[in-house]
Amino acid sequence: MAEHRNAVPGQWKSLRELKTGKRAETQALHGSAPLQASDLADGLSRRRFMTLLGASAALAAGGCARSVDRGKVVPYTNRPEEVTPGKANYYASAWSEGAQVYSVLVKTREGRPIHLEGNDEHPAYGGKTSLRTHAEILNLYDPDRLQGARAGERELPQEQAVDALRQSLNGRVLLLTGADLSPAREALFERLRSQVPGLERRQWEALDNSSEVLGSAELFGERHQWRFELNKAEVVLSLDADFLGEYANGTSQARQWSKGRLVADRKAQMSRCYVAESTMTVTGSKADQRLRLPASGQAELAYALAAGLRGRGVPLPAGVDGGLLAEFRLDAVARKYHLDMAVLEALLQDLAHAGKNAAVLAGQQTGSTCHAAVVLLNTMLGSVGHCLHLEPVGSRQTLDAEGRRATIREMASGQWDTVILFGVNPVFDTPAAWGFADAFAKVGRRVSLCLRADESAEACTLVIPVSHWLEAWGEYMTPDGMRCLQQPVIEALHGTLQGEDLLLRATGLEGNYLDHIRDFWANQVQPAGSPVPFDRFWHTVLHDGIYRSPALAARGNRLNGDAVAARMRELDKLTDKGHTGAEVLVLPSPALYDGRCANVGWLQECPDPVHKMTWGNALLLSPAEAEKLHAETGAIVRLSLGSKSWDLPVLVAPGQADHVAVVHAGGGRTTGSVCNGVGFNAFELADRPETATMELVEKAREDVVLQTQEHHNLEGRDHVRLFSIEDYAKHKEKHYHVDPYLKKGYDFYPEREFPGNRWGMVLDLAACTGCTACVLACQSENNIPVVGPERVAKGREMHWIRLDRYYEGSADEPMVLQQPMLCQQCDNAPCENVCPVAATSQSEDGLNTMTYNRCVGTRYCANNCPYKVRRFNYFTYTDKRQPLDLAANPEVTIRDRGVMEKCTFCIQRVNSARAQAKAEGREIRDGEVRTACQNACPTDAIVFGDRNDTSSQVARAWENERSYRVLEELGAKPAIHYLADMRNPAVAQASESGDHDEHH
Amino acid sequence: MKVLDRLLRVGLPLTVAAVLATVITVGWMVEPDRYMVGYAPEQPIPFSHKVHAGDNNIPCEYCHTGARSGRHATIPSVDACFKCHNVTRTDSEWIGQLREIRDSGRPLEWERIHDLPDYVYFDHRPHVAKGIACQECHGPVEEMDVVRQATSMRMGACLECHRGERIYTTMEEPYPTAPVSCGTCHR
Repeated sequence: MAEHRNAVPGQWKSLRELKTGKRAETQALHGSAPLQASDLADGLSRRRFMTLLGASAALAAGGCARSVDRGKVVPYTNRPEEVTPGKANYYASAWSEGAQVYSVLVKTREGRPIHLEGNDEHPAYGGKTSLRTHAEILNLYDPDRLQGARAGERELPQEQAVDALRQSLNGRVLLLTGADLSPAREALFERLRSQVPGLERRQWEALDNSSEVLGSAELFGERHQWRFELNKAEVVLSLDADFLGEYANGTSQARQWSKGRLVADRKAQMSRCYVAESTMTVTGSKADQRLRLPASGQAELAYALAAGLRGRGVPLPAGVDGGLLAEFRLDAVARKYHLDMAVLEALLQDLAHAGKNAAVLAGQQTGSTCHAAVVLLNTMLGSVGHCLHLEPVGSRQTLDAEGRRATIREMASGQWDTVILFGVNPVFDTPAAWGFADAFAKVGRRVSLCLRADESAEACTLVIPVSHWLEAWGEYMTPDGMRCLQQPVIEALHGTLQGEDLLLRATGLEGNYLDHIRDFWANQVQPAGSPVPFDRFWHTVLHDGIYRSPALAARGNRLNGDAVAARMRELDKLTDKGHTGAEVLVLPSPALYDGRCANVGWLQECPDPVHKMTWGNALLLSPAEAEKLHAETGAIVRLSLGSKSWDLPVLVAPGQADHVAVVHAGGGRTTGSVCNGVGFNAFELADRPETATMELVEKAREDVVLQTQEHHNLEGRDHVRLFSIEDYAKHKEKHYHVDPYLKKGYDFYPEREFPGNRWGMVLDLAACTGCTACVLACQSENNIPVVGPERVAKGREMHWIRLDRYYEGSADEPMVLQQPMLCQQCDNAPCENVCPVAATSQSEDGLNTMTYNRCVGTRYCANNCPYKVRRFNYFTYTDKRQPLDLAANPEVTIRDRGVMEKCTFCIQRVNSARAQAKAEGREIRDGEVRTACQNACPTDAIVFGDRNDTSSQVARAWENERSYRVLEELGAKPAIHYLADMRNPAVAQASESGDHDEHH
Repeated sequence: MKVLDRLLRVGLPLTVAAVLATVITVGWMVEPDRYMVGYAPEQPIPFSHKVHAGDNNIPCEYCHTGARSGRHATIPSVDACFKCHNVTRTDSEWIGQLREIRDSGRPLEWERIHDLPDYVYFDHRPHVAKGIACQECHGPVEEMDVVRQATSMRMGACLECHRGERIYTTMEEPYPTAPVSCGTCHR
């Protein structure tokens, strides 16, 4: 193995690389042709050889058989007016996950939804949407979906199921739903109560922002939650709030945040982002200054900051006890948690200076005490009402932890005759210590209205399948007044009804849920006295998907100083506790959230944005903590909480705080053909009072923690670059990087000409958060298969776009750099001239095209690709189970065994736009072709377009001073430019990072 | 040695001839131009393009409405027939069958004639927009009672036009060349 050359001292991809200066030998060396590609070479017996020879001959004979039957062609019998075969239709709809409502556009082909995008008219989304929203397509077509109702072992036809449900709606009935932001649904349950007086509805969420709500409720006497306008913030302080990821609405917050991070030229101002967090998240990886601080220490820091602000003359809100606050000292907090006092001083200075242009956010895991401090801090800064808003929670009255435990106690004591689980899975996602399953078993009638037979359904006496949201009606309202309509875009695949309709039928009420929503909207939503007929109003909203009504008004109560004081006193007690063992944090998984969508293969195989782990979860430990246990990534550690213990795989997480053990939720499902047995259930560990003790039980193994980061290695050249904004402003010469050899025309290929369009892409690393939404959007658009954990372990994942994560600095406190890597569409593509059958070639508009039907699978191209972006179909990976075929994009070929593939710049979109432009006799307009990844990127880090059009967005970004090409010295002339990452640190870094490109 | 001599003199030429004959026969049999051109299966409804497009001069795009707006020219839906046949030839047996199909909503399965492989993404839009007549590829459909495939529709036929080598039958001058990179059709 060649000695590791590191053009950028201090950059590393994995801990092994940091320690030894070498990459993992197993997979990375082989790039796209991993070790196991050659596994037959070792000890191939004669018999095995003959078997393979025979099999190949048989396969060749079978595979070459050609049918002359051309099949049938079946037109519509009665064609729906809006459907033209071959043309996509878009419908506005919406769905909600936990407390978030996502307004989406559903792309349908011949009546089947195939792709989801954000609704471009919704102000919070502007055409963007979350990672998991993209995966909802696969959730709809999940072959595991329940197709018929059953009571115990007995299968029930739908009418009988409704009858059984009717009989269950008797006596005291508890209806558990997820967080609900639908006023019409709320009204529906009110109507049901007229028929079933004993009915009570409660909202059950495993991971919610209840500590935020509780913190504010104490302070104002009313339940509040935060809504952000981070685009107005000059300074953002996150206290364990992953606001670019899983805290509140990551998609919309990332959009807002990126507005302050656009560096168009040298004079640009940049917002500054401080993050104090317990484990490295996407937010921490984009921080300008990052502090390692356990969740339990965040409140102390927050109060100390408030005290510090007061010391700088910022007045306290009336009624808050200044004397008590003065006990919190910043230097004491810095000493206790080993924080850099210089950073804290700078933070305090920045907060005081920014005033109302500063925003302080805190994550759910920091507890309501910290949230009370955050309210106090933001009130002192004056940013409430400017950068962030406290708004009433509206219809979303989610049960907090105490509420959920009370519900469990009530079930155990027989207070409920019937419990109906409507779209929730509490058997799986309730902390095991609370004993939900046992209490639930004591309820007489247990009903589940669910998509799949999940863990809770298995514990129910009556299980009725319901429709997916893409097959159902709905409506939502967020407290800011934005209303969204959800409309079905496909008829129920399995003939199911939506849960609301089941309840309406079972109670014998008039009409269906659509009628109910329309009535509600006619009476409550459409402004009274509007001259517009309701039908027209309704169809307009249905078309747009959104409607803005007045925001919910907060009562405007004064901040209760006594409540703050009580919280501070409580914290004083906490301070004395000291550290014994590790605190266990159960956090939402970046891909799987709380595990409700764990059966979606796309999400299981989606690499974690920071740790690049797929298929399962692990115990995240800081390098120092792991060192103490002599554990490495892949080792098994026994974690004990009180009398219970679990053997868990370890993932050493650079940048994590010490004395913290982090586990991501979503693993450990026991039902579902995809997710069954993947990972462990983090809720088992949740909410136990003890601190954890750990010991090593098994040394590291390779196949335990499946990380994709060391696959497809770029050999440590300086492909990711970084400036601090200060260095950038000081530099005189352009950073545009051209290798001296290329300048001399040192190229033995003739210059290519691109007379028409010349497609190019610019990726802004300063804007990219590594959120991975692009990977999912690409997967949905381009029919990219899921390969499964065994093959990911061999480095055979098929994603066309990957996010390379690089660390810089020490393992304890590293800086993270993210770089999306996809086919660079080189003008002089190294892959092209090694292909023996010319299956990959340059097009006249600058694309490096891949012709599957020519490809014979030599894999020369992948070996010769310096960017390691080509993917090979070692097997037929496409899941052929019905109805998964309906999820495929008909404009993209389904690749078969033996074929190479890679990013095409969404050539299907390019070609379609070109054909349309030609049909209309015009040129393709700038912005007319948008790639799937570009559409999905919440921060608009991806710009795509025609470089020949000098006024195009991409041509302008191409000329940006920060722009460079990766591995330019190879002379491949990629059609992708990167804009160097940009940070705005307050305190000078130990290592100068501004001179990267002078290394050549 | 005599045996070997005879083998070489007679056996070798015979073997070569046999191999050649096999190759030529098989090659001829699987030659797409041979077995694809002229394919004219019997259709479930004996729709005559000659009557409609020829005798009655109905433009192609009156029924194949997608050709200008989308990738596919589209086969007209059954209800589209009744744009005319609500009043025309309502007594015909076949129109009666069509009406029954329309009313019952059951699918009408036509025999596919023009079938490009799955990895070819042909788009009607630019071709129609350039004024290339349907007949250039589909042959004189307006003269066919039973539609048959008139051209091979192989890649060579596409490239002939795209490279500007073809003499068009319905255009007065050769048309300028079109893209020939693989990505034009394959993706």
